[in-house]
Amino acid sequence: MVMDIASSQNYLEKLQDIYPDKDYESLRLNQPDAFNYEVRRLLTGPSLFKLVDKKLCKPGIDNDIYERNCLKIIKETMKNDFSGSVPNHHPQNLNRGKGSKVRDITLEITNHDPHSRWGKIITDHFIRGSGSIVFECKNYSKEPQIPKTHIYQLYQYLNPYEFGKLGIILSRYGRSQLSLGAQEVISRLKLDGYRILIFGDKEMGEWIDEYVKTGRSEGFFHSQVGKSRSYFK
Amino acid sequence: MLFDDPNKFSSISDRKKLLAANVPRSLIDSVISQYWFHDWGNSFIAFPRHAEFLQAYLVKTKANIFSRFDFYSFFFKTAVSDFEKNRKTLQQIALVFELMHTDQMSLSEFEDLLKEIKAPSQLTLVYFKNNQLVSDVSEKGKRTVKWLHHTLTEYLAADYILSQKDPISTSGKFMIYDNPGLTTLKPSWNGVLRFLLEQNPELFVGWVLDFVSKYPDSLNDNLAEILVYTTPVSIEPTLKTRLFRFIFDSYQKRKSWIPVWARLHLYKFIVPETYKELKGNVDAESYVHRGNIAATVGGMLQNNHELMTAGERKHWKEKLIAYANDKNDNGVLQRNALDVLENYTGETDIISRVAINAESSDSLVREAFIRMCQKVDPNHPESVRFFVQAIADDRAHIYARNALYDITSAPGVKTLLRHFAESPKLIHQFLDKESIFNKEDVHADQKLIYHIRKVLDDEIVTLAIKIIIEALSGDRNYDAGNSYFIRQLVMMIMSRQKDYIYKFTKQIKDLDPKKKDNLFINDVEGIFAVLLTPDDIEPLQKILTPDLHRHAPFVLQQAIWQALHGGNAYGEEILQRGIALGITQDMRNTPAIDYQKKREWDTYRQFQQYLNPPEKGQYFPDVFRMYAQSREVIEKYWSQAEKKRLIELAIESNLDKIEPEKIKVRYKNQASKSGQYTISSIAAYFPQVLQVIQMLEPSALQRSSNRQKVVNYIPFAYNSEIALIEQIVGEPKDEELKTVNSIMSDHNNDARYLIPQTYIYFVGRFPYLKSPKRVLLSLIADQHLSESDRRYGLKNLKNYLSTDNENDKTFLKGLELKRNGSDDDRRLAEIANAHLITVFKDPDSIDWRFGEIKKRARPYERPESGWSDGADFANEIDLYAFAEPLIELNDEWYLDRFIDLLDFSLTVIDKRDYHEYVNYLWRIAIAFVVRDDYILSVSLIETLRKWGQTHSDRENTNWFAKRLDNAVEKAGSNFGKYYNAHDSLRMINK
Repeated sequence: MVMDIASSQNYLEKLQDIYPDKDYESLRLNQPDAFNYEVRRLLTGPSLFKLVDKKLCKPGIDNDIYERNCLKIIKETMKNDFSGSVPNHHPQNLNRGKGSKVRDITLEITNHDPHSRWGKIITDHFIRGSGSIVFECKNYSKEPQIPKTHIYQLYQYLNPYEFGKLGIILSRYGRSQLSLGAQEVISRLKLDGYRILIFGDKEMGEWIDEYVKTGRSEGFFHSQVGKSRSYFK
Repeated sequence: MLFDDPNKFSSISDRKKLLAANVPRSLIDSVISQYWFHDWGNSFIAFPRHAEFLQAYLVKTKANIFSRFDFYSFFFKTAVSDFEKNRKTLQQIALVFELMHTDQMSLSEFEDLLKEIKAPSQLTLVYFKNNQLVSDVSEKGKRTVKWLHHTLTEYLAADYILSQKDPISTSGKFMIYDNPGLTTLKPSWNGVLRFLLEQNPELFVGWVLDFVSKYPDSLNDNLAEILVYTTPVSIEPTLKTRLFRFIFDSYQKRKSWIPVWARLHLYKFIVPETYKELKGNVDAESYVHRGNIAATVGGMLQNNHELMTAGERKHWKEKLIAYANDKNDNGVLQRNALDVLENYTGETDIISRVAINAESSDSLVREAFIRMCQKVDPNHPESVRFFVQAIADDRAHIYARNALYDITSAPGVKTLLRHFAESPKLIHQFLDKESIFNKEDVHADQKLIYHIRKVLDDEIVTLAIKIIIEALSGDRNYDAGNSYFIRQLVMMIMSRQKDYIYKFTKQIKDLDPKKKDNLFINDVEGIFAVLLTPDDIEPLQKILTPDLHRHAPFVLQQAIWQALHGGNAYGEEILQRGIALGITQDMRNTPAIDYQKKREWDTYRQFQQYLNPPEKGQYFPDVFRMYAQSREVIEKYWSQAEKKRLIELAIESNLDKIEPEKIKVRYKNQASKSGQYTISSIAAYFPQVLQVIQMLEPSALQRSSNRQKVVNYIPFAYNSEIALIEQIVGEPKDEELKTVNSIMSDHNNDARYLIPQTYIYFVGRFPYLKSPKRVLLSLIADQHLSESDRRYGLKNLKNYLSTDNENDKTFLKGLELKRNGSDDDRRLAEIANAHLITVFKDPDSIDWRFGEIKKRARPYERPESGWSDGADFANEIDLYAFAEPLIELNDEWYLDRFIDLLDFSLTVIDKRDYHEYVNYLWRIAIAFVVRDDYILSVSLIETLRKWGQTHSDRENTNWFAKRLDNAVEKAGSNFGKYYNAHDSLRMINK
C-alpha cells in the first residue's frame, strides 16, 4: 500500500509528536507496512471510529452530520480499493420536489483489480463491470423501523447498467431496524440478483477495523456479501 | 514511475538504467543511497533529464566513489549554458533563496531581484526556464518562479561558500542563528551544509563539532543524520573518535533514540577505543541506552566491521538475545535487538531463545520477530510454525506471508503444507488476504508455488489434495475456487494424477452436508474449470446432478464457461461438448450492445423530451438538472436551437420570474419545527436553473437584481449548492444580506429552520460582515434548532465578539453557566467557555478549563484494532482541541498554569495506563510555548527544558525533553529567515 509522500511525512511528524518513544522514523524505513498500519491504528482509525459514536452523532437528530460522517468513512476507507474515485454526496432533497431520484452517496467503481475481492463482487452485481455503488444513510433512532418503501426507493436507484445491483443502507442499529415488510422485499430482490446490505454502527465498526488492519475495505464487503446470502432465512 | 507520478523515475528505474550503462553495482548502490537519504520522495535523479546527466557523468568520469558535489558541478557545466560566465550571479540568486528559506518566489519579486543584482542581460526568466532550472507556475492569476529542485540552490550556495577566502566564517555568517537565549545552526541550511561536508569533510566536520559542543541543544536529529551519513570513513582518526563520541554520548545523555540514518552509519567511526566504551555500557540500566547500543552494533555487524571478530559476534549474540527478551513494554529495544539478530543467518538456536516475542502485545515487535526468523532460517520448522501462527491469528500477516516466500527446502515446504492441511483457520486467513498479495499482474504467491513445484513429490501431492478439499469446504472461504494458490495446487496434482477430477468428485460426495453446502457456495466451479477436459464433460454430467447437491448442475455449466475464459487449453472444445450435451448454450452470438452509446442517446432523448414535450410551449423543470448533470453528453448531440431554448427557459421563464425570498416552508409539527414539511416546488429546481445559467450565460447572474436573487436563495440552499452561490456572488455585502437576515431572524418563517447551517457556513466565510451577528445570536438561543446547528452558530459567533462588548460576555456567561446541564447544554457551554478564554481572557473560564483538563485524567491504551469506546478521548489526545483555547492564550503570563499541568502529570506518570494522558499534558504545555512555526518566547523554551531537567530522575521524562526538542526543531525552519530578496541581498553583501 503506497502512501503519498506528503501524507507519509505528515503522519510521521504527527506520530513522532505523540509517541517520540516509539522510534517511528526507523519503522518507516525498515517496516513500511507496519508504519502504515500504525498510522491507521493510531491516527486515522480513531478519527473514523469517532464518526459513528452515538454520543457524538446522535441517532434521530444529527442526520446531516451522519451523512457527512458516512461520506468521510467511505472516502477514507475505500480510497485504496478504487484509486482516484471520490464518493459523491447528494444531499437528501427529495422532499424539495417531485420526480428527481437523488441518492445519498455514490461511489464510482474505478481502477479496481479484477482479481481482487471487488472483482468478484462487481462481476456479480454490475453487468458492464463498471458503475457506482449506492449508499443510503438512515440516521434513525432505535424505535423507527425501516419500512419496505425505503427498500423500494433504494431499488429504484439501482439499475444493472448504471448503478449496478448493489445498494447499501447505512442505518445506526443495522438489520434490527428493518420492518418485516422490508426484510421480505430484500429477500425477494435477492432472487433477481439485487443485493441490499444493511450496515449498522456495529458493522461500520467492523468496516473501519478492516481498513485499519489492511488499508482496504474489500475484505469487509466481501464478508458482508457472503453473510447477506443468509439474510432473513 | 515514482509513487504515482508517471513523469518521474523510481530508484528501481534509476538502478536499471545505470546497470544498463555498465555502471558498477556498488557505485549504483552508493548513488541510490545518497539520493534516497533525506530526499526519498523527491530525489533529484527522479527527474528523467537529471538521470540522463547522471549516467553521462558516471560513464565519463569512471569514478569509483560517487561525489554528489562533483556531479552537480558537472551538471551545471554541462546542462546550463554559459554557466561559468553566469556562475557568480547564479550563486547570488541561490543565496537569496536560501536566506529566504524557500525554493520559490513571485515572478515580480524574482524580476526585481535580477534587476537589483544587475544580472547580465542574458539572465532572464527565459534563461532559467530554457536551462530547466526553474518552472514558472501560474495559480489564481499569480505567477511564481520555482526551482526545479531544492538541491540546485543548495549546491550553488555551497559553491559560493567554498569559493570564499574563509569558507568557515562565511558559513557561520549564513548558517548560525544567534539570538539571546538561543544559538543554533539554522535547520533550513542543512542541505547546503551537506554539500559542504561532502566536499570538504575535514574542514566542516570539525567546525560543526566545535559548534554543537558549545551549544549542545542545537544538535537535532536532522543534523545528527547529516553529520554521520555524509562524513566519509576516511576522515582523520581524532575527528572520527570525536564525531562518534559526540553523537553517541549526546543521545545517551538525552536518553532518546539515535535517529535511524545516524545509527546505521555510526559504525564508520568506531575505533578500538570507542568500541571498548560501547561494550562497557552493554548492561546499561535504561532500555533506551541498550537500544542505541544494539542499533550501533547492528551497523557494525551488517557492514562486517573489522572489530567484529567471531568472538565478538558471539558475545553480542548473547547480549542481543537478552535485549530481545527484555521485559520493558516500550518495544523499541526488542525491535532493535531482533533487527540486529537478523545478521546471524543460520544460527537457528536464536529462534526458540527469543520466541517470547511471538506473543508480544506489541504488533511491531511481533513483526520484527517474524522478520528475524525469515532472515535466520525461513525453512526451520520453528520459523515455519511462527509464520503460520501469525497468519492464522492474523497478528502479523503481511510479514509472515512474505516470509513464506523464502521457504525453499523440501522439509520446509512439507512442514508448511502440513500446517495448511491441519489448520482450517490458517487456510481461511490465507485465502482471506489473498487479493492483497495477488494482484492482476503480480502474483506474490507465485514464489511459494514455484518453490513447492521444485520439490514436488507424492507426499506433497497427498497434502495438496487434503488442502484443496479443506479449503473448498471450509466455512466462509467464499472465493476458494478462484484462489490462485488453490488452482495452482490443483494443476500440480493433475500433473501427477490424471484422474484427479474423479477423485475430487468422490471427495465431494463423501463430505457431510454442511461442508458440501460450503463447497458449493465457495465457487467450486473455479476448480472444475481448471480440471476439465472435453472427455470429462459427459461423465461429469452424470456425477454433478441434483442428487449430489442442488447447485451441482449449475456448477458444471459455470465451469464450462470459466474454462473457456479462464485459460483452460481445451476451453473451446469443452464449450462445444457442453453445448452438444445440452448443458449450456452458446451466448456469444448474441449481438453486443454498445451500452455507453445507448445510454448517451437515451440521456439526450430524455433531455429533448424534458425540453420540448408534446404539449406546445411546455417544458419539464427537470431539464435543468439533467443538463447540469449530463452536460458533456447533451452537448455532443444538441442543436443551437435547443441550446437557445434552454437558456431562454432558464433566464426568462425562471430567473426573471422567481423570487426566492417568497419560497414558502411549512412544518407539519409547528411545536417542534422539525420532521415533515412542505416547500414551494420552485425550490427543487432553482439551484439547477442557476447552475445552467452559470454554465451557459454567467454574465446574466451578475446583474445586481439577479445577484440579489442568488443571495436570497441562501436559506433554502444545501451544502452542495453553496459553492455555486459563492462562485456567483463572490464577496457579499451586508446590504445584500438584508432579506436573508430578515428570513433567518423571523421565528414565524419556517424557512429559518430548514437548513440553518448553510446560512451559518456562508456568513462564516466572510468575517468582515457585520449584519449576521444579530441573526446568529437569535439562532443560538432558539431551542427549536438542533443542538448541532446551535453549536455551529456559536462557533461562528467568535468572528463578531469584541472585548468591549459587555453584552457579548454576558450572553456567553449565560451559556457557560449551564455546563452541568444536559449533554447539549454542556457542549454549548464548552464553546462559550472557549470564546470567553480566547476573546475575553476571562479568569474564571480559564480556571474552569484548566481544572477540567485535570479532571478528565483517565487511563487509556490504544487497542491494537477494533472498536474503542475511547475514540473521543483518543482524538482529544491527538488533536488537543479542548485544550486549544488555553494554548492560544499566547501570553507568557499563563506559563505557571501550564507548568502546573506538567507537575500534575507527575502524579500519574508512574501508572502505565496513564501514559497517553501524560503525553497529552506534555504536548499541551509544549504547544503553548512552541508549535509549528510559532514560538511564544525563547526564554520559555528554556523554562520548559529546566522543568524536564529538574524531573529527569522520574522515569519517562526524557520523552518530554525529546518532544520539546522535536517541536523546537520544527519551529526552527523559520530561525533567521529573511522575508524579502532585498534584505537577503543586503545580508549577503554585508
